[in-house]
Amino acid sequence: MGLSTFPLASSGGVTQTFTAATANTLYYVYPTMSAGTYTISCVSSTNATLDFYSGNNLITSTVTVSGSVLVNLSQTITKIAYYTNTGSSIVISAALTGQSISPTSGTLNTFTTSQTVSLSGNGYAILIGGGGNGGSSWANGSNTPSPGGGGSSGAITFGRIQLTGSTALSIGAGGGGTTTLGALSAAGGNAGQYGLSGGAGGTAPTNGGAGGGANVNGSASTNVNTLSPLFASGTTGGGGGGVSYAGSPPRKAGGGSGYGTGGTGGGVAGGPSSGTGYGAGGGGGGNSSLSNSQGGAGGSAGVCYVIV
Amino acid sequence: MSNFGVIQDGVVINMIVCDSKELAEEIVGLTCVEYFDENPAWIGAEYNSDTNMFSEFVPEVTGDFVPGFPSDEPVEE
Repeated sequence: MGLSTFPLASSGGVTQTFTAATANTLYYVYPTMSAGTYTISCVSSTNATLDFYSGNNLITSTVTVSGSVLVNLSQTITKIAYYTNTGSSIVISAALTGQSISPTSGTLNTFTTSQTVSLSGNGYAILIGGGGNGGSSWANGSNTPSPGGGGSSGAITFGRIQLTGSTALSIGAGGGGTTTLGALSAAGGNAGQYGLSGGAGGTAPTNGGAGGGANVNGSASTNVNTLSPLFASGTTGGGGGGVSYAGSPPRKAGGGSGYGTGGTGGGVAGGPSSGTGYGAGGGGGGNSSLSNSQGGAGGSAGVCYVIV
Repeated sequence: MSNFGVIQDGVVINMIVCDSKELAEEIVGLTCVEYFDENPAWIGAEYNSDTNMFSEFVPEVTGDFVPGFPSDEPVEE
């Protein structure tokens, strides 16, 4: 067995080739091969054996089978020792076919108050506007009273945003405030209707949950997880509508869970409750008696989540 | 954390939550006024800088809804 050394004709990301002039002779080449997966190829009539070194440390060894073999190099290679078992002027090539890149996980940031966001980079955001207020009920002591509608939840927006390190963020307050982050925005919820006007629930803004009309439960919003699977499953929702006293019907529930829950509508058992969590509508006012009118309850403030 | 009405041309255009009036104004670039339950802001409310009060919300009465006629049920005292 003889011994020869050759410089490599090329290096870097392109295919690198080297030659075994005669069989059963040990050759060396001195490439710079970054860590990754390489396809080693030569004619199928010979078997080429290659030992990969980093400095003088053997990292791995491989033999071509039917002309090629895949080899995974765990670190940078600076020397290859090789030989073939038959043939002459055998050209062997090494082509980078894959490179593992270590990922880093995004971090979830939750903002509940307006501020200048100091994050930088490509962010993925969910914005929820402030929930709408419930509508007041109407009563005059002699006519059939009319409950108010529940407020709707705030809108929910998913979007990508370039964070500059000083991005303005406004969190919408309960009562219909809009949440904005740079150019992204989520509208606030709509108020439930006054009983004297019919007591309809607040209409749902984009991806939001509607408030329940008089004697109707509130609705849940679109599931945040369906807007982007990066964010946890859950909803917010509109407030329940108010109920009137005749027959002492049960109060109507708000919609949503996870991110927020609409307030319960008012009735005989008590006044309406405010939305809880983020972006939830307030319950509509009910009537606990012929002469009782209740004010609508407030919606809850919005929120902004950013993964970057 | 407090609630602030964002004022433009004397009218509330948004309501936001923020830690301070100064920060709220810096973020939105407009005058912000803190509000409370006794005199809440609402979008579309007019703000009187002399009295520091928002206009009272008056529910709109729409359509031809007629509240119930005098009920058969007894009027509660």
